[in-house]
Amino acid sequence: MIRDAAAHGRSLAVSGTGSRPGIGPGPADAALDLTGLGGSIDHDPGELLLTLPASTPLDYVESLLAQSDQCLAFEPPSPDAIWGRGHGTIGGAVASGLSGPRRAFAGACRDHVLGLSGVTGRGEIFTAGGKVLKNVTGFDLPRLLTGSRGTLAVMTQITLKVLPLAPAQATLLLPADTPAKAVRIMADALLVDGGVTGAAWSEGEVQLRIEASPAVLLALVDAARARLPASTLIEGDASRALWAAIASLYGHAHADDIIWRCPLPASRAPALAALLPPDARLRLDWAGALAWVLLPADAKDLDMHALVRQATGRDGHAERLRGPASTIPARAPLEPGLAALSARVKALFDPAGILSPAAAPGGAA
Amino acid sequence: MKMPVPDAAVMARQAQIAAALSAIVPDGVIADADGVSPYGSDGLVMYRQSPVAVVLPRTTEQVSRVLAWCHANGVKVVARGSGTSLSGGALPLADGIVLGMARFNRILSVDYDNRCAVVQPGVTNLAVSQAIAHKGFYYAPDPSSQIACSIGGNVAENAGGVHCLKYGTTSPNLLGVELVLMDGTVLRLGGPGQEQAGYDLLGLVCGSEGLLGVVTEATVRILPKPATSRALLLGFPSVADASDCVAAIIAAGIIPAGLEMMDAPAIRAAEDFVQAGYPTNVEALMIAEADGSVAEVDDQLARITTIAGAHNCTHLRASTDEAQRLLFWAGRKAAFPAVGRIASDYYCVDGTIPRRQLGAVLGQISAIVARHGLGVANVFHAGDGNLHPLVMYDAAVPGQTEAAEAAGAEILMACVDAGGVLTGEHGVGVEKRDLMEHQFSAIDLEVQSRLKCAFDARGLLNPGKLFPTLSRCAEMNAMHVHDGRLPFPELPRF
Repeated sequence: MIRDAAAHGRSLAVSGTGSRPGIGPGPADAALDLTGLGGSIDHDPGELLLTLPASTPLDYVESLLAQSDQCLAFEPPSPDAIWGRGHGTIGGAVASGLSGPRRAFAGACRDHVLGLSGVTGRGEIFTAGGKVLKNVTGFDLPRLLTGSRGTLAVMTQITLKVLPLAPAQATLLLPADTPAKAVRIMADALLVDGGVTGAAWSEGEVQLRIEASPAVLLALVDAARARLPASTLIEGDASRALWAAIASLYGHAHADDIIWRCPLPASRAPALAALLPPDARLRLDWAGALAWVLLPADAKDLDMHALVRQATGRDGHAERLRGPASTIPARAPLEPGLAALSARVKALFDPAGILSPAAAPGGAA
Repeated sequence: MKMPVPDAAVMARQAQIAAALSAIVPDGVIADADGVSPYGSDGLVMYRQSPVAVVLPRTTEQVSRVLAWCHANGVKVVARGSGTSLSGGALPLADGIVLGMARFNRILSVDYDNRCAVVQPGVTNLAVSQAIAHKGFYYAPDPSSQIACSIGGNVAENAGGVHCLKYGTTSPNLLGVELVLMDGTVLRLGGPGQEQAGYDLLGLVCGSEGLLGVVTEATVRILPKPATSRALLLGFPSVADASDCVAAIIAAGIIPAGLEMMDAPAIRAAEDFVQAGYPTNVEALMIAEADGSVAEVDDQLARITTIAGAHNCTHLRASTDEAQRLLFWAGRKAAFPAVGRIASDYYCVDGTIPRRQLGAVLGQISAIVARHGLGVANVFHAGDGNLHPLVMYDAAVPGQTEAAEAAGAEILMACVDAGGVLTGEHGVGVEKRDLMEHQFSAIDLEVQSRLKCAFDARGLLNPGKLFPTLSRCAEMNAMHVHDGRLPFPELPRF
């Protein structure tokens, strides 16, 4: 099908269940629906490996792993909170490349994709990476394809590194009325190795998650409280529920809010905050290295790319995950040298430019 | 080892090449036979080749101009850090220059609040940790050659170490690079943030073995040092018991900071060499290290002790202080030189297998080396399945070097056949280049290798490494429907 489309220059919108419309394939001549991909699921808890078809529903993956007290350590955010179209597939999670709160501590999505099989835009069926934890054989295509939004190749099978689920957790809540205070508290919390696996800020409060085995959790919590400002503590399921909410934008996004996602150095988050209009709402994750900006619908033409550039120089970027049609592109153009290189990479995988052309990074299409 | 046929015309122009490059890097070009000799090989000492010249730039601008000149004049380039590669990644080419990055030796900035450091590629791995130790921080990847190996080389090889299972190899600890392409273009990939815009080109470049570009600056993630680290020494009556124990530890939800294994020949060689107190009456020895808070470490070691007891562990000792912990490691870290004491030469093989295949693969390894009339000692990053058989031979005996190489190749093919891969941390280089076809199909290799056309379409950067053959980029470019509007002329240059 891909070969035929390439021969006729007919573009394909590569998609699973369509759960991420804001960053999905965009318009194309035809749809390439991957939900029918077959294949078996091979989970080997002792080897920390999971191999599965790209079409496997994400919530099924998580419940499967939970049966062995394991998880996807990068905590893939559920697209349902942003787009309200279900939890999507593992293929969509990897193609989007988005990582949740644990990213700053356990690594990003791209760090947990060990191998994959797929089809290039030339119709070649290929395999890359491997089914082992440690592998440097050949170019790292799994990392390149993670987050490539289906614009380089169509992933059909994915091998992931899975990790044990921490058996116990607690969260410290620390008052912080400004982003500057919040970023300071989070940086201080991470100056020592104390089992922190989440650090976020919203509504005037820093949330610090500590995970460990039950035998040591309290000792870690006590140590953290001893060196940080006064805090209140929530434990167990209450803590889990809070982080599920943080991973899904706290449920705070109003139905018609515009949602911008801005990775940046944590220390620049206060500068970005200072540039935002008064009706913007800011949430921080990754100890401040990820800013979520929620804007009312009438701010659709606010140029977040310019604000992030002003706050971070070249060290941050912004992507609009959701919002009405706007004069501002969802992703900013890449710098010229990077755009040219990205375009060459795209052309090597997909010379006819048929795979989700609207989703290629700025300048690479 | 067959290398691409050298271009005699380039070799004949040696004096002219040296003069042109001296104009770009005054006092940084070595072209006499004695001067280039130390650069003739890397850690894979079986192979040796003198380059046309060695160039030692100091600035990114010089790197850019050297590469642009070589690009324009068809001269191949092999970038070199400290030359510790065990796969021949920095082996020179007869018709190319070596671009030595040793003068890029400064740590440019450390940002504790954002937990990252910007370092030049010639800085050694250990020097990064030493420079930030006074603030209680360190750089996690710790390849065994860390006192000598450079960060630039670590990036090129995606170097690992004994703590990879918990902390990852270089790639997850690398946030950004400044990269110079073969045509002299200077690019920045990533930076102090945790995510780059667009394709993950940083992830692609890390581990690309010097085929895609030259790193002139790296931004690495730094971590607060664990409050404490302690290690257990565990002896088992069989490799099978030890390997079942590893699986049980992981299945119990424990990710130790280090989980190493040695077989009987390696144990005895190491013990004779450093007297680390290893039991010599066991068939397998495991070092399990936990790090973190005191409570965490105590808890983990107690659980590992219980699991080991259920797997016939016959010898157990826990380190009581830092000196003893380091002594436990001293034997393991000296395993290579220790084997070097009992054999005149040894060849370190590097493959990864699914852990459950360990017993079967070790059996095959014994059979393979026996067939070649050689001996072997095995050390194993057990936690992540990364196996290092040390094949012992005597280069002075005719035929033994070839036998060791042949045994190494057969061992790696056995790893692949067991569901594993050719290299876990040493890279493909020239060493495993011709085995790539055993792991990957022709199309798999084509999809990977043609990426070189996006970075280095003339194939001048480290050709003859990693891939058995390189794509013909001219043919590839003919298919680029978008090429007509690529903004090549506007590429930023120095």
